[in-house]
Amino acid sequence: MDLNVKQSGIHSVALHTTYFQNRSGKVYKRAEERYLRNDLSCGLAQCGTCKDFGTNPLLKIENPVRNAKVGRHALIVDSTSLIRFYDLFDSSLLRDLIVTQTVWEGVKAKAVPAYKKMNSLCYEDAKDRFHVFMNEFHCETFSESSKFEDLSRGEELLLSTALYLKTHWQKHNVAPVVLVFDEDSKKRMENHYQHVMYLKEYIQNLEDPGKQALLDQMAAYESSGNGNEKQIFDEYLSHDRIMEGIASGTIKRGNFSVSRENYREATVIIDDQLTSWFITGNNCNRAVNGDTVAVQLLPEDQWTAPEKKIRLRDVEEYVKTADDMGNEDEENDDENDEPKAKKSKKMTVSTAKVVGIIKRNWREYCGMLLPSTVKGARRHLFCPAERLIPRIRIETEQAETLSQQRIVVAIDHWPRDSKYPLGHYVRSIGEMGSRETENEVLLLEHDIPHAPFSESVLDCLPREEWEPDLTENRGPLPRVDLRDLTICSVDPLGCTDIDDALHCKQIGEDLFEVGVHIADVTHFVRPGTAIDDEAALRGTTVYLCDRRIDMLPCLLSSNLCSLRGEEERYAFSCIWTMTSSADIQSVKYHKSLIKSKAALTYEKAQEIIDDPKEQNDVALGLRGLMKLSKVLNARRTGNGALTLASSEVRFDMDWESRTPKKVMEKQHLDTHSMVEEFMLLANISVAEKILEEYPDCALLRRHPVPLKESYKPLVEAARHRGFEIIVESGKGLADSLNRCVDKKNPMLNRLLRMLTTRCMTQAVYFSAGTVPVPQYQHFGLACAIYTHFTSPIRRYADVIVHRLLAAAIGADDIQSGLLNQARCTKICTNINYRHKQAQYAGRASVQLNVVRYFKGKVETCEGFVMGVRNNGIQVFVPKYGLESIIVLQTSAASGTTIDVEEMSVKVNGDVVIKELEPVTVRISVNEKNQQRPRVELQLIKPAIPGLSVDFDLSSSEGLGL
Amino acid sequence: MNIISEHGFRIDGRRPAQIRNINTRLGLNRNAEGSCYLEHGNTKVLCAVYGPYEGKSSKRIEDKCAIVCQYSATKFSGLERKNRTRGDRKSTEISRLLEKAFESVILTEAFPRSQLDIFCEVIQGDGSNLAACVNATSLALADAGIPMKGIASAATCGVVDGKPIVDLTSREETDLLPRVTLATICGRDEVILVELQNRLHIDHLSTVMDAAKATCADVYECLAVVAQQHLKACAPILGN
Ligand SMILES: [Zn+2]
Repeated sequence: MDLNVKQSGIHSVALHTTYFQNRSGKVYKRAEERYLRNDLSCGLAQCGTCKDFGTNPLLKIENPVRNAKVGRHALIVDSTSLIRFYDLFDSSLLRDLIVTQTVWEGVKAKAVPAYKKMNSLCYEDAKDRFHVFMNEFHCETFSESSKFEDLSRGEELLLSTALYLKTHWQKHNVAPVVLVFDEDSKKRMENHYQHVMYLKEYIQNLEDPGKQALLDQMAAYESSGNGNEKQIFDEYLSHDRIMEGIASGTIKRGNFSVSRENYREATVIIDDQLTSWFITGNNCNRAVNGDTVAVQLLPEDQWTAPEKKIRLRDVEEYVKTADDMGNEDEENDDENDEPKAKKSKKMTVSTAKVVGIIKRNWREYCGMLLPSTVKGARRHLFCPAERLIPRIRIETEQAETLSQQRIVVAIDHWPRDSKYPLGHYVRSIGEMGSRETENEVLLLEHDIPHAPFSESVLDCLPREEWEPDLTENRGPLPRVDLRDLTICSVDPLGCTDIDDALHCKQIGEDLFEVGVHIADVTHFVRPGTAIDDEAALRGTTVYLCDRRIDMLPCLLSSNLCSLRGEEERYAFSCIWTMTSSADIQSVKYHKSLIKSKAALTYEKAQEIIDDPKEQNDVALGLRGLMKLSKVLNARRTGNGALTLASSEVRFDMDWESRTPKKVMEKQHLDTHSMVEEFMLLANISVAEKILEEYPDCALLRRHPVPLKESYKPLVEAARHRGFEIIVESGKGLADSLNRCVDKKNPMLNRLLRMLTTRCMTQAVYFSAGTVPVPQYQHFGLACAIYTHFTSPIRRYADVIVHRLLAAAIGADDIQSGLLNQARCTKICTNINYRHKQAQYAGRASVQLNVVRYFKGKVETCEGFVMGVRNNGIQVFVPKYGLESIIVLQTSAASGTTIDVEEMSVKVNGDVVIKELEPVTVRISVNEKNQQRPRVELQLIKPAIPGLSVDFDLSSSEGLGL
Repeated sequence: MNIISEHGFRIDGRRPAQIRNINTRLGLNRNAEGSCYLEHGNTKVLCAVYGPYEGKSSKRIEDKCAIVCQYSATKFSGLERKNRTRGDRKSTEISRLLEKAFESVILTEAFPRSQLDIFCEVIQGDGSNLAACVNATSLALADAGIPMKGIASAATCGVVDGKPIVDLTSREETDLLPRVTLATICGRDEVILVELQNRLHIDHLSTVMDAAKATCADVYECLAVVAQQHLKACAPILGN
């Protein structure tokens, strides 16, 4: 085949055959061309042949750190070394490194954190130390067939690069050194090439005192020596066996998720039908929460069922007393003493075991060292703040100093003979217990970007003395001057980021003009700018009790975009004409310039509405809005919209000392629902508009209809109380919830609504055209389509929706990528994740403040039993939104028994505790352990004889997470 | 999978603006007036030209030659074996596009009331199938000695993150990547065919068109060399 591509750099064409599998498991052959090049740089600064092919960093500085074993050299690293020791390569002692394309792809496929590190080292932070050699495209190093039978493919490719570079560099007298991790691999490669070293061996031979620090960092690995005969875990199957198994259906892949109640149990969802397999004990085989694993079903006689028992590591550690902690050999394997009787025939579920790891989801974890009783020990156990992550064994000399700090640790590997994964210390966050440290932990753990805005972001801001300009138009549809309208905003007290304002005026007999005006954020945040990228990454503003992490810089969020009273601001208006029975006659959208007449609080607005003396335009407008909102609300409820309850509370903070003063009394005012109704209406109207215009890329929000089975806990709980819940339709559900009223237990209705929320999945953002149209619906709000338009200052979804609407009506350009479904989906994935994390972080922050609040206080409160387990009860304290587990020790002697089926606790046969019934608890902070102060619940009423309830578990491990 | 890797290369080792290897053989089919087998990398097409002849009266046009094109793909052209490969909507559309394009290339006034048939068959499809068909037809027409304004050449161009990539393979085409197929005459500015797939942002239009035109010129150079060599081989009398 003669080559006539007249382009530089291409040397020849090879055919490269790959096999791949489609979703249904069918295997295809694909023959692809591979253009082999002769314009790829070897990376050596002195090389004349390659000088025009790229920036050649290698040996630009003549080996400043000498190595006792080799002369002038450059290093070729293998993928295992990079994956395991990626932190080490930050050190400037390791220079002149070559990452081959094969290694690059290997790392990328296997380990995300290592890949990120490698990418930033090679292309940003350490460009002067790293060179990427494109061996698979290089005409001299590409090889389809194998030349060395004793080597694995990866080793062979490394070796062929080394051999090529050796010849290529002969006249420069530079030797490529291959750095490997694996012992066997080194032995095999040494048969063919002289310079093969372990990374450790290389570092040991460095002639620089700084090497000691590196060696310390590597220390974690030696502890897992091969000396230990006792293998705890089974070996993983080979990659090929797993792939075969997946193809034939005997092995499934899925995401490993650990139970929140019992750390020894996990489930893996293996298909689209949400079929889940249960995994327990050692069958988890070193999988960590979040990993993608390969699982295989056990024979049916080995199937078990969830214990329905609360097992949390911190409790067990307290029971065992901290002394055993340093010594894993003495920790008897509880797995073995599980009563066999449990495995009785009743109710077993599909039980499986992990046979391999497809992709690790390891990240860096925040947490603390567990106290060790052995003075001066090197090996320590690290307790991650996230309770789904196992303890991690690390080695450190500075345990004394670290014991009072929150630290960050990364997992390196998990050998078969170790009960815990092995990791290393990365850095310290700060003094334990200090507000800053704990907040930092919280933000890191929830992956919330919270660094101050960068210069390039701040450069995108307009000047502070910005003034509106009506002549400035971005699209054919001009901005409308609405400064004369009586517009006002209604928000919670102290709100500085006001994104919505309203107006209502009568324009005819039984005809009203109602407007919702939303901050025109997209006027300032232009696509493709640094500020837009940052907002897209953050996705949402995060509210902690004592801190707000803005999505947009303060100048925009609290000033230029915020629709403050008596100030001229740009807005995006949605204006309806409707009759007094809220029948919409028309709707129009345009950008506008408004001047809000008043920025009211909910309370103030309510006061104005209720006071007949108030007769100004603001008052009249508010009353009009209120009337219409009641009609809208009645209609929505009639359609089956659900009223759900959440357990969230807010603290009133003392902003001086940033400590919680008291729990905010939640008072529901009519003005709350008034504003809410119009926001819903605006969101629905906008959703309709953008969907009509962009049926395949509009950003919408849907709330999936829950499966009937998922209501089981709710239906059961209600049935025990004598109520029937109808789950056939949203309307049925809403109505039946309304009927669940128990005069003796006024909280019952709210508790059931809380349970309902838990039965459902969360609402999510998605791009139109990616799911079937019937699934667009928002179940909770009972509407066919929905989106978010009304809070662009604090949600990125709204920013995109603003752009879509502006494009649809011609108020702005259609910016690049806006109408791309794939991009929209990508944005949705991120903001869905960010929203979830923000929500969790908010809750964690409340919990953290509950601990702070109860310091030195004791309070007796009413609580409710939310669940009964084999060894304890879950208690919810509404006043503090606190949900904790009280462990009960049942024993025949005391006559106390727990009936999980009936959801009750009995003493001598009499039911004393039932699900959803009130109990009295005493709340205090247990500070016995200085490291981990935790909120403790004690059961006061009903008193259960013989049972001292000594510890609780708030759902955190003392970190409030 | 990134279409352009972190290192700036495509999956097959090309840089974004590089085309695949082009290979041709002219005059394979002796029964046809002109024929051409052409490869763009792994995309392989065969084109045969019949006529001009006195065709069906229904197709007849008073003052020029009617161009009738039939595009099809073999059952084994894709990764999966297909049953129906001709007469489906996509094939018909491509046939019409080819007809339109070559009506403006061929000097149709030279053969009034006659008909010219063009058959294009994709033997192996690996992206840029339409472009390959245009190029093969161009050479087949040259082989047949049909008078033309010049040799038409075509290429595809897509946009990844605002950057153009040319001559896409089927793996690169699978994404929702916006891409155009463009054909010009003699590598100059005169455009005879544009087909757009997926939504392309207006900001990227000029980038894509510029890159596509430049690529058409590259392809034209290859085709011109082939045509000249073929001409020399067929007609030694013409000499230099
Ligand atoms: Zn070189």
